[in-house]
Amino acid sequence: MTQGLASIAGRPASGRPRSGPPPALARRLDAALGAAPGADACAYLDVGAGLVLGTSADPALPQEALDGLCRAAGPLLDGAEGEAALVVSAAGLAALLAVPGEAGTALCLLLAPETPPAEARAAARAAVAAMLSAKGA
Amino acid sequence: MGRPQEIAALDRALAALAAPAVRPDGARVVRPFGNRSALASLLAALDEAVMPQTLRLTDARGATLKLDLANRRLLAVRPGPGATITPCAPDAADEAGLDRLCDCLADFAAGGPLRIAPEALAGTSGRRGVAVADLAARRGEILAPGPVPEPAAMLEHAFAAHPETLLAWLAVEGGASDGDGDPAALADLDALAAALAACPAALPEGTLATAPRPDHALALLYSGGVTLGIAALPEAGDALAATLQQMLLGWA
Repeated sequence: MTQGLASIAGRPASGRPRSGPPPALARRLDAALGAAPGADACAYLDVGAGLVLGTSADPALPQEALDGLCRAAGPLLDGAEGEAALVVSAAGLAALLAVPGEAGTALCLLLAPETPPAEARAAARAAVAAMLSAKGA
Repeated sequence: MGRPQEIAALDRALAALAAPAVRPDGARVVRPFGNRSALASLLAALDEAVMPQTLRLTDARGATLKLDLANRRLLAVRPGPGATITPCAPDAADEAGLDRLCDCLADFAAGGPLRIAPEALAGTSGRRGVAVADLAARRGEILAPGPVPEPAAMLEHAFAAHPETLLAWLAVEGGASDGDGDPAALADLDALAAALAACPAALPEGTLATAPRPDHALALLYSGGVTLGIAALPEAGDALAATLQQMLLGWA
């Protein structure tokens, strides 16, 4: 029924304290989010291990939403070279893009559900580029 | 329980009331979507304003309008830099005034996409102004999404919308599958559907997923208890995704 909303929405979970990512990763995620117009939040995923390594937004995203995207990211991005996969529900759109040079990882960008697919994928590319640039900063 | 789109709209409205937006400017983007017009998109966003508040609208050229709203009613319209509209306080009994207001809002919305940002929480509402829903009704605009089509109708609509670029389709329901089209594309679809099925609760009902592949753009739609897969030429992936997105969200 509406399970999809909670698990894909990426809506902030109120009142649930969670520690943030390490400062260096937080800076990279902030750079990624800043480079993606219209994005509400982003997360750095270890696709192979199914782990969320960090999120940009505060308050944090529901863990179950990111866990589901983590599990889906592997099959969706399998064989995709530099192209983003999208996951859309009534409550949100997630753009997933592998991070070059960081094997088995992906950036997940969360946008409004009506974001045009081409725009979402372009935002994901810009976010990943900014994240990589911030790595060397 | 309402439809997922209605629940999502309520969820967004409640979240906007309860907490500051994640983005620093708190702005959201409003634009036409599927068969929903620019004016309907704007009015739908305004119709979410329950608490007394002022919203700042900015069009693609940077012109701004400030709207006072409360209780899903439009109380006042004030021009900002670049806007040519005359300030007004809508009166529900002034038919000609409401028509002029609708014209102004439609003209402004046509200059979108619009960014809508909260500027202040203030004032009281009573029954002043005009209900946003009444403005929509005056122009015959629909504010709520329609029903999500059945999977078979989605497939038919997708092939009608993209007759030259779709390569294959696959439907999986209750362990049984059916499909047709280019064998390689069908194999890609089948493999993706199987891989995702092996990921418990990764993509629940009411979800569209797209997966780029070197030779095909793949889309899987989980709706109506069916997993519907469609493969397209790589360059047609975004157009196919947009079509399915509009159907999934009820605006096709």
